[in-house]
Amino acid sequence: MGELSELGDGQLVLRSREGESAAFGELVRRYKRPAYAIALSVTGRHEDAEDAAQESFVTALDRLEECRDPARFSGWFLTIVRNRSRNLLRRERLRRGEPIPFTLASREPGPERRREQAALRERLLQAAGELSRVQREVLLLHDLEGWKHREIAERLGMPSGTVRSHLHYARKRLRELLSPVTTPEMEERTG
Amino acid sequence: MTRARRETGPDLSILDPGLADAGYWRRFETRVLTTALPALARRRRAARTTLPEVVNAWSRLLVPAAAAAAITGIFFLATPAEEGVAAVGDLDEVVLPGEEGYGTMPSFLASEDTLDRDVVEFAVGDF
Repeated sequence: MGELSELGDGQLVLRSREGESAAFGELVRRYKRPAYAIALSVTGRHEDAEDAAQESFVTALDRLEECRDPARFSGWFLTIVRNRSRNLLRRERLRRGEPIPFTLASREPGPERRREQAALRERLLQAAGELSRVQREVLLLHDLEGWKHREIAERLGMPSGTVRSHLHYARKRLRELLSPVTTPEMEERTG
Repeated sequence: MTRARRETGPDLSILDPGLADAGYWRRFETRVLTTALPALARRRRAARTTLPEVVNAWSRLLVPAAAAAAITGIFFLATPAEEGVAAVGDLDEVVLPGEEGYGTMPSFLASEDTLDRDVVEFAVGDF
């Protein structure tokens, strides 16, 4: 397993094409969080983001031969995540009005703190929903997943300066939107 | 999660489903890999296809084709060859000594039909 974690995406893709479960597992480990972040930036809902991210991995496995440059798997894969998330969102909109399955909350019944966290999460997602799609992606990949500007630039196919610009405006806008509930500690941190 | 985020950005860690549920990401991986098992198995089967299997698959087409070619060859070999040889003799007869009902090449070139004669001279000029 340690050996696999040292391999580049290209090698892992080639081995996954041969059906090597461990290689595909390493890709899942490597990209589960970015996939979730991208899906969340599109859908704005945990349950939908979870479904879209998981489905995207299986779709990517089915279409691995279409990944013409295995070394650039991340950009190709995140495009799949983005498209699946949009499709899922479209489906959800079509059946709007129907009750939505209560998955995460029912799995984790919690005390008052969980409710507070859920409220804060909802507020953050609503605020993030005010940002442009690319701003949300950059913000979540950087501030939630810890990707560097250079990594985001490579994987989303944009100049590093553009990434910095999107991040700057996304944070600024988010701070404005969250200001009524921003704690003094957060204000100090965010400047 | 990163130092830079803590210094400059709003805290988004609440959006990480693994924050309140330590086993979340492990279960996520397990679900994906479980769903992917049939596709991975298919890929392994396809990758294990050996050279003899490929040859065997080809032979299903090649053997009937070769058999048909052999039968056709035997049929032609068994057919009498006299008819084919006679055809070559017929051509000589038309061009040189002449044959009943047809003019020979020299007599045709001496005829009044200049247009056709020119065409024939042009056509046979390289011979």
